[in-house]
Amino acid sequence: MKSIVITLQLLFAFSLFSQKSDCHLTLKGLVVDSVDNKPLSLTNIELIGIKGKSISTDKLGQFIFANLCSDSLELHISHLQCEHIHLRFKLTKDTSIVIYLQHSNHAIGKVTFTAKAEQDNLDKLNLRKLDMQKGGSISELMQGIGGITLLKTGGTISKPMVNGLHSNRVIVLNNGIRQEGQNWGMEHAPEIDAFLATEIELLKGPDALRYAADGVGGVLMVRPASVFNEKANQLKGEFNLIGATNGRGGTSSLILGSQLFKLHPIYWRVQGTLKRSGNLKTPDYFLANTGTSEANYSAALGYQNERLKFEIFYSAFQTKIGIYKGAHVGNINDLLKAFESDTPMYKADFTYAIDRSYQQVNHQLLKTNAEWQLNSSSSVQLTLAYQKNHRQEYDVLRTSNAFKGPDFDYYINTLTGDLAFVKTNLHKVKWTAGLNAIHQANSYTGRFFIPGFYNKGAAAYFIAERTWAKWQLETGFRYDYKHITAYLWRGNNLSVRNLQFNNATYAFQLHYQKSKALEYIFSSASAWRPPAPNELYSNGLHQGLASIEIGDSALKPERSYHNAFQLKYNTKKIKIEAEVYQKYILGFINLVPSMPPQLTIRGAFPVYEYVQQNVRMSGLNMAMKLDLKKFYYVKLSSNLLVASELNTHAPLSQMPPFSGKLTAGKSTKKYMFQLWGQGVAKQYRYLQGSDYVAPPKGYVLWGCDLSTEFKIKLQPFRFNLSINNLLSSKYRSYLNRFRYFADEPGFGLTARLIMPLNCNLNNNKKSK
Amino acid sequence: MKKNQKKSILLIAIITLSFGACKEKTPSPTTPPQNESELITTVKLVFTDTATKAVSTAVFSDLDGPGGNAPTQFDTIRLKPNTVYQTAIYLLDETKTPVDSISNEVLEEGQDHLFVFTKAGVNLNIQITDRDINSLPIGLLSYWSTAAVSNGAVAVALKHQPGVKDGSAAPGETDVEILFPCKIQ
Repeated sequence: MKSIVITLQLLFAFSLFSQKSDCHLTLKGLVVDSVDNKPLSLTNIELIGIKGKSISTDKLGQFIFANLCSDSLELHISHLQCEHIHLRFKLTKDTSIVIYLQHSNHAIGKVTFTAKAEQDNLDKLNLRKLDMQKGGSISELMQGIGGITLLKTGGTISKPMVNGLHSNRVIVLNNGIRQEGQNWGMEHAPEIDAFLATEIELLKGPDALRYAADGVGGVLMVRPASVFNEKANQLKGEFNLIGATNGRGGTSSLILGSQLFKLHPIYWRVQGTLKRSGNLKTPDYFLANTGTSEANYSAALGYQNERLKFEIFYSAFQTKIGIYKGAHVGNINDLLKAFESDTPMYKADFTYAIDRSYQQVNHQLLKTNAEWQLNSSSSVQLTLAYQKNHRQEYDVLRTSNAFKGPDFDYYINTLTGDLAFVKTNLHKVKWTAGLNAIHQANSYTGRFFIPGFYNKGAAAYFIAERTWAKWQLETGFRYDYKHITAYLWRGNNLSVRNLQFNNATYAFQLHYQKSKALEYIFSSASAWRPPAPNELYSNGLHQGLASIEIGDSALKPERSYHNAFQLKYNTKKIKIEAEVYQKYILGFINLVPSMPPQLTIRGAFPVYEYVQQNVRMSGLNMAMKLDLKKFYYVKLSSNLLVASELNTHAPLSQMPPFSGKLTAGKSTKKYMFQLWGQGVAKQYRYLQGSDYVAPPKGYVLWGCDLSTEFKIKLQPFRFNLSINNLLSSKYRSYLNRFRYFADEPGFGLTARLIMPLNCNLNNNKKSK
Repeated sequence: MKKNQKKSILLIAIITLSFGACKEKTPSPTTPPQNESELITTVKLVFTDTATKAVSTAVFSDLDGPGGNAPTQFDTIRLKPNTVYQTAIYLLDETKTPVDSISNEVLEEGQDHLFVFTKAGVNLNIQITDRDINSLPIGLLSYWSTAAVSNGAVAVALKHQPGVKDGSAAPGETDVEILFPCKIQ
């Protein structure tokens, strides 16, 4: 992602005005990419030794320091992914500088930089924000992004919902590779170690087309730090230790890396995370069987010279998740009874033990990436990845003699390849052309829910970007071909279904920098998604939901048309990001109630069938930060979404209700403290009869965060504390599928100690 | 450089181990999936007239489990008026060969299970006769005493109540619930 050599050129320094009196000097600067001359925003510039003098470059790559004294200056220039640069010079008069940073390699289309300073970016989360969320799942980390809410199954399983859409409609990219698990399940969380992420972004522009055509809901990119940041003779890393009161959970994570040989550009990094948590507690009672455990590790090895960059990455993710015991219902009467009861049927104390029913998931990724720099402006990139996902679901045993193995046992293995040609030239044009291929095999043992299948696909894409003075246009086009062979076994009877889909996806995005502070972005995109195996072929009891789901093998692909207008206003005092969007989805595949109920040995169950509708989803996401005097600030964010079927105007079910969050705090160089309140309204828009009970009422939650940095001898530490549900309010969330059975967790305090490691390997002495 | 060599060996070892972990056996989509999970496909009520020793049955059977095809057999309970029957319940998994008798397991762990009978519109009295180790009723065996001619229904439910069984129907989850039409004629 960044070059070995970052050259820094002090291009020119000239006098603007004649010399002024001592402390009224101005330093103006511009940071640009030396390859494409594009301004580098969000670069952190710090004046060493001068209190409070740390700023970020704006969208135009500019920064300005005023009221400086005539003195020797030391500038510290840093990017998230780059080496820190120190620059010393003597300031005697008002000065302008241009800093060129050379990036000879672009590993993933567009390189984005995130500075140390906190940015209220609607669609991106940086390291500092992630710091405050550590210990949570990858989905919990994502919810800081505007428009993202969580679809939960109890307190232990959550997956991201982007503007009301989730599962098959939301693509998660892990390290540039599309995550391939049993994504279709509402209770199947993404299998990614949260500690791998240094940045999470909701891709809104045409960039996303490189990875997927079917991101009807959205494409979320989880980015780890680049292995090529490692240095010779320096063992760098980070150790995280996290404790949480609710669930008495503990997490530890270690990441270590270095350049392997001083003389050869070979880099390595290893990383591992261990996580354990016991029964969660609502304000009134423990939730039986809600423990979780997780063990993950990854290793990366990279080689980089002037022309070639090669990386091999392996990660393994393993988790065991207890399913709340009170949610195990045999039939509809059990479910209604559980809902009527205020107290749980199964009393529980605290324990770490995980009993049936539980999920056990193993996900492995092996990725290789090679990039050849053909000349200064073009490169070829080849990425191959193999993913192996094994999901097991264990139900409650009826008797102790019953079969002890998993009731559901899913395997999905995926091989993907991507070949791209990237051309960047100085005339502010950049384009990427590439080919994608996928081969996927899905199989199962145990009970039937979705059939085994082979999925083969190929795609071609073209993404281009052009910058004018104040305008930037990005466009993308992609064409996909997909072939699915499904094997439906009933006993020893097999029926094979062949399905073929091919279609086009496009996207464009137009940026207009109205002024230094104001930016408009208009995006328009269309995506399509073939029906998923569960939508086509499922035919059975969904135990957790006490309903029978029936697929329709005649379903057609759905197509979305998405238009959004985004406004970014950014001054020293006030930052606003607002986005309005409207999305039409034609042939939206929806699970709707159908008559009559179906008779089974456990009684009659309501039947839900997959049908296609035309729907409209309109919404507004907003985030605002106001900087007040003396380092105080106020933040406000909110999400609003209205989703309806086009003909009948019937509301779509399971859509996030209106929510807003107000934060007030103080952030100095030494510490940050903030208090927040979050209000979530009742979802009034739901179809009568589409649910067993009406959506739960609205609620307000309070919480606070505190973070600080300190040193013990030479070792720096970052420490933070956060409290969720400060008043231990009793509430239920409409987006939690276990809302029928139990309250949400009560008061919880999480403490995090983060220890950056930096050992000099020459003399084994710790140094900063 | 020795240190570096050690490091590279460690790295290679880690990556090799990782590949090794990939070698777990994955079933193919083209072979029929194994299913060893237990499934109650059939509930069979066997009525023995305590006076004449005549035997009659009522069966509910759904061979492919919930969802899929409709139940293959769903009988009406037909009883004579003013008669006492000894009733035995059999739970079968007919997807297995030989047929698995799940009622034996229910009996063995009677302290976790309870049959609940609910009648509507029929002149019938049901009395559970078997007891678990805690002297609470199970319901695999019962006496059904009929009175005058009548029409209605009897719901037969099996509750799974591990650790929460108290003799009442409320706790636990439902493994079986069938509303048998019932005729006393």
